[in-house]
Amino acid sequence: MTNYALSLKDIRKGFFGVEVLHGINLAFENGKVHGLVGENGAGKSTMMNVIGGVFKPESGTMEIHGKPYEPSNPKDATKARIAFIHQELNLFSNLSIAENLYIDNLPKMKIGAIDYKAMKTNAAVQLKKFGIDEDPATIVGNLPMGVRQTIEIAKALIADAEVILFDEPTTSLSQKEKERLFDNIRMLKENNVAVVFISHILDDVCALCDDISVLRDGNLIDTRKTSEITKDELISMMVGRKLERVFPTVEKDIGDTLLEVTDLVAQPVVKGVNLTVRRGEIVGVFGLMGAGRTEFVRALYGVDPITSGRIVLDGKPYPKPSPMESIERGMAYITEDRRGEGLLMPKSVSDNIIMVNLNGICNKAGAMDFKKEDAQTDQIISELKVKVNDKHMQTAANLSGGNQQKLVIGKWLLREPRLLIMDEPTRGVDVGAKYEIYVLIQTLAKSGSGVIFVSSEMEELIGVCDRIVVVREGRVAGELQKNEFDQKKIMYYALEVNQK
Amino acid sequence: MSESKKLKKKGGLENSLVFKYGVYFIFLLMFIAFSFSNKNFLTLSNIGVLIQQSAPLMLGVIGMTFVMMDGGIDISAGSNMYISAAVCALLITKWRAQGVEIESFGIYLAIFAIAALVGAVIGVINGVMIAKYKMVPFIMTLIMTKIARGIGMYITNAKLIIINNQGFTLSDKRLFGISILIYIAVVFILIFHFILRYSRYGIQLKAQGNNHEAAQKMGFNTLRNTFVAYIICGALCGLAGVMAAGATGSVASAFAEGNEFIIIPAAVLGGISLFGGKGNILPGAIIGMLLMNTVTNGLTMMGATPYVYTIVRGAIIFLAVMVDSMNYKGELR
Repeated sequence: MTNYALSLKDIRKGFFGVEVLHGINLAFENGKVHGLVGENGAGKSTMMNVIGGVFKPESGTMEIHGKPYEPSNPKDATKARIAFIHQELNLFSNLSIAENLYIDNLPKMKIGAIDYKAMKTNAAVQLKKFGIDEDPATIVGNLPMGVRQTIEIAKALIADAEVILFDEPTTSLSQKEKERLFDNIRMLKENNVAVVFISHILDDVCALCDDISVLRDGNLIDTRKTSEITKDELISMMVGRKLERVFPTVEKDIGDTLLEVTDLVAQPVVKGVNLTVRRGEIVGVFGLMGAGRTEFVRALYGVDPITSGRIVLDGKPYPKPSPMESIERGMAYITEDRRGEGLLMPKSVSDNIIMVNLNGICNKAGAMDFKKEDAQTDQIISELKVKVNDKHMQTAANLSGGNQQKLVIGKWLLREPRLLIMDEPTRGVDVGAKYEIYVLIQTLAKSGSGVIFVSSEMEELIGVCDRIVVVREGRVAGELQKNEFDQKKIMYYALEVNQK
Repeated sequence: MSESKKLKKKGGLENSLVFKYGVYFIFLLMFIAFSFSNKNFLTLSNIGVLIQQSAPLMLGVIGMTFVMMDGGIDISAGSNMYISAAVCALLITKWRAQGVEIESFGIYLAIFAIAALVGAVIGVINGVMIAKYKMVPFIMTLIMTKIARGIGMYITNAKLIIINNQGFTLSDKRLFGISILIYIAVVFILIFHFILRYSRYGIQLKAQGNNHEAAQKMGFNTLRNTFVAYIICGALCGLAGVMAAGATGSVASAFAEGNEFIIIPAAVLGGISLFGGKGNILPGAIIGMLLMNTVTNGLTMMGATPYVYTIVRGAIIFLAVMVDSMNYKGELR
């Protein structure tokens, strides 16, 4: 048996009774780069967090060179010589390069004071090793992202890390920085480090890794040698689930154009999106992490400023979107971050429902009409089947995920929106509530509203939408009509792999 | 050319010279202006007086630097000075009544130790409430301002206690013609500058002030670090209190009132960020404190009315805080 730097055996992990990792078996070898690919929500980050000691697995074991490894916090992972390089770097931007490199292990002089001289000399040696032409005394906050990332790698090596996990390390890098990162990873490999490289850029994964594992819906689909697999096969493995869920179908007519977006740019992520939505149409927006889906809808709704582009809503140009005006013009936006932005968690169910429709229940003097409030909230609660005992006393925080999401949608329904933008409306919602949300979306479309449905779940987009737009790197990469829906095609667009 | 240099070159306001060395500019300009408007300003004796006057609050600003480095604040600095000085004044009166000869090195040392202890107790309470019970530093220390001054007034009956006629005075003690107050301040400045710059604690405090989450992930005991910062601040404010009492010779009920609004602005002027993680004691905070006192000193010599002090000070504080906030790039909290 090979002596693995880190191995996972039958790791299972769930949240609130829903299992998200269904028994993962993986092993990482010294001196090898192991690629890990999968869609959003495939379980990559959960697995990382299990390895890093953030989450405790429900069952299964981990071993380092055959010895059991049971981390209970991130520090245990560091002690076990496992390091993580995240997209968001964990450096102190107010400290110098040298201080950041050695903060865990400060060199001391005899009298116990920090030996800055030794620190700088050592840091200079490390920087030279990684080909960075910077003074070790430079403050990290003044450095570009690529250099910061290299510093984190150097720091991991100083801490004598044997396993280094990279989580989407290339997203914020320029081409040149990316090449340098790859050189560094190859150097790690030569130093007998076990590297785990998580990315959705298949070209990078294939160029860099020795082995590639594919995760899908919390299952390990397969681990293969890079030399023995093609990109095409990889994509098949990533999306190859059977479409067996049932989706509601509603007979509806698709009318004339409601929204027309031309070349929408919102720096730095959205680089030019074209999109039309017609009345009664449900348009799905698919894209992988960092593709700019959320940023696009935020800019459209006016949460983030737009740099350039033209928006025409209902035949009228809408030059400078702001949330207030968007609401007035009949838009509704259901955010991805339900807990942070969508609901007032400590407030009652009733308060949450009327939040965006306060004008509708106030009399001329601006005072609230409590009878109207009662009537409207009751209507929403019964229409959406929200499970509430006392709508005035029970707070939004006490509801289940599904019921919370119903509240978010419900409060917008009161305004009868003409254009509904939904960002991941079914995330963290149980199957029953999901179905009800799909019904809601379709009923709303039937009544003549347009819907933009952003989701990472390809299956539900295929089941619910009339058209799917795939976004990649801030641009529309492809568009599919209902009769062309195909998981593989969508993934091809999302990954930018030329179709043969 | 390295990449960071390129970045700096196109950098905005925050990298320009005026922003970086703004305080020193103001300091220099003011010094020149005062020197020209009053011939007595730039004299050795006046500069000596200026530094001597700054000495007690130097200790305060050192303590504040530790708390602010962590992203906190201690509004109770002035009241802490008062209660520590009041306790010492009462003890001096009591010992004197018992026939103890106050004017001896041992007794002076004991008085200083007691002041530091009283201040540290205030710091411990602040620290526990803020680090352990997650109270907002501003509110907790504001409450402490009221409580500490209240206790001080209660134990003294809000009466003026004169101590220089009882044998406790620091204003006349000199060594080689330089006030003992300055020596004390210099010793503390050096010690705590060393701790902040050359100890593991100091660098951890600076790091966590920048990013608490990352610091926790790295396994720092961030709560303990915060707690210790408030104790340091408390103890140093206590010492500042007894030094100020020794300099003025008495403790009144309004003793050191509002001193936090000299100490905190001095720190900000000296480049200690209100958002945490930035600045140093030497020269930063110390220059800041000298600047605050130069303003008062210079305006006094010009014969300006005391009301003008507040206006000028306010304007300087405003500028310093504005620059600090404009430079801050993180998330607002």
